[in-house]
Amino acid sequence: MDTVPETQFLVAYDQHANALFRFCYAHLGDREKAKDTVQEAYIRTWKYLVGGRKIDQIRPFLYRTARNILIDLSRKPRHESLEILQEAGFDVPDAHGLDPLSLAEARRAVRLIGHLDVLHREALLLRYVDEMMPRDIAALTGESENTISVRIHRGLQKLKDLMGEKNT
Amino acid sequence: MTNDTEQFMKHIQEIRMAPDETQAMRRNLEAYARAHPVRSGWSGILLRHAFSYALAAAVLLAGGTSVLAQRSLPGDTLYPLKIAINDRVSVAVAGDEDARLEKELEQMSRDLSDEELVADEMFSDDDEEERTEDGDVIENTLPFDEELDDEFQEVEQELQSVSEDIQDLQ
Repeated sequence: MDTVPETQFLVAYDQHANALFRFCYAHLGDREKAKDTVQEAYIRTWKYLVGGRKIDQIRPFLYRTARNILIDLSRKPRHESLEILQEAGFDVPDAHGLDPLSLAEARRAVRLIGHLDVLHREALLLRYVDEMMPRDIAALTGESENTISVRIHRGLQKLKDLMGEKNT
Repeated sequence: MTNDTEQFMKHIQEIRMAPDETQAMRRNLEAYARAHPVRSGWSGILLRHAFSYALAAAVLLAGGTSVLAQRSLPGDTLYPLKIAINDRVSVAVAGDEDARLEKELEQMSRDLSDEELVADEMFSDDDEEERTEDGDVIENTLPFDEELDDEFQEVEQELQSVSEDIQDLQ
């Protein structure tokens, strides 16, 4: 067995699994579903490598794969919207040594962006949480860089409005 | 204000899996990768092209079958295959109308020859003579096969028709 791809694969897991998890969690609002999605994304990536193909940049590949899984989930008839999950109460992650205030703010942020439509939510998550540049987000989503920039700007505006509403 | 919003978004970076969750998933993926290893070298090449090899083998087999079918005669198992595949292919690849008609004429002549070959075998002079108890030769008189005769006549008529079509075109 060739162990080099396996080693590189596990390194990619160590580097990106948590980022992928919060990306999926912010979309799904469900911890277990987010974990399942992350695991599925990595399995599909491994299958791609088993097929003898090479991956030049693993990070965007993982995000693209996770994104496709999220799209598939959203098309299933029994998919629950983020809004419904929010009303039922988020499946919040444990603190595990994190600053409680920071965690509370994180939960609040996830709840608020859940009110955005999926495209603006995704643009904001990739830009400010995953710290991707607009051109990289454009490459990942297949949109133009200009479209992504506009989406980020409008998403921020909508989020600001939501923050203002929630504070009143 | 926008910076505040951006900073607010960054709180989401705090969200992550628990350490035991991370480790558990890692173990799952490691086990999966070991159960489905990446194959490199010759075995990898063979596996990657397995489908192509299977397809090539199927084509060769079909081609070999087609060659055997070419030699079959009416009544043989492969004769219907000969008619169905070989004829359609050769007519299909014949380019213009003249060539197609010539091809059809050729095939009908071949069909008639095949039928004649079978008939020859049935009425072969090499058959051992049967004799009565008194030593008189019993003539091999097979019952007249009306169906076979009708088929012969049909093929002859088609040959005639195709031949006339070719003459009209000339």
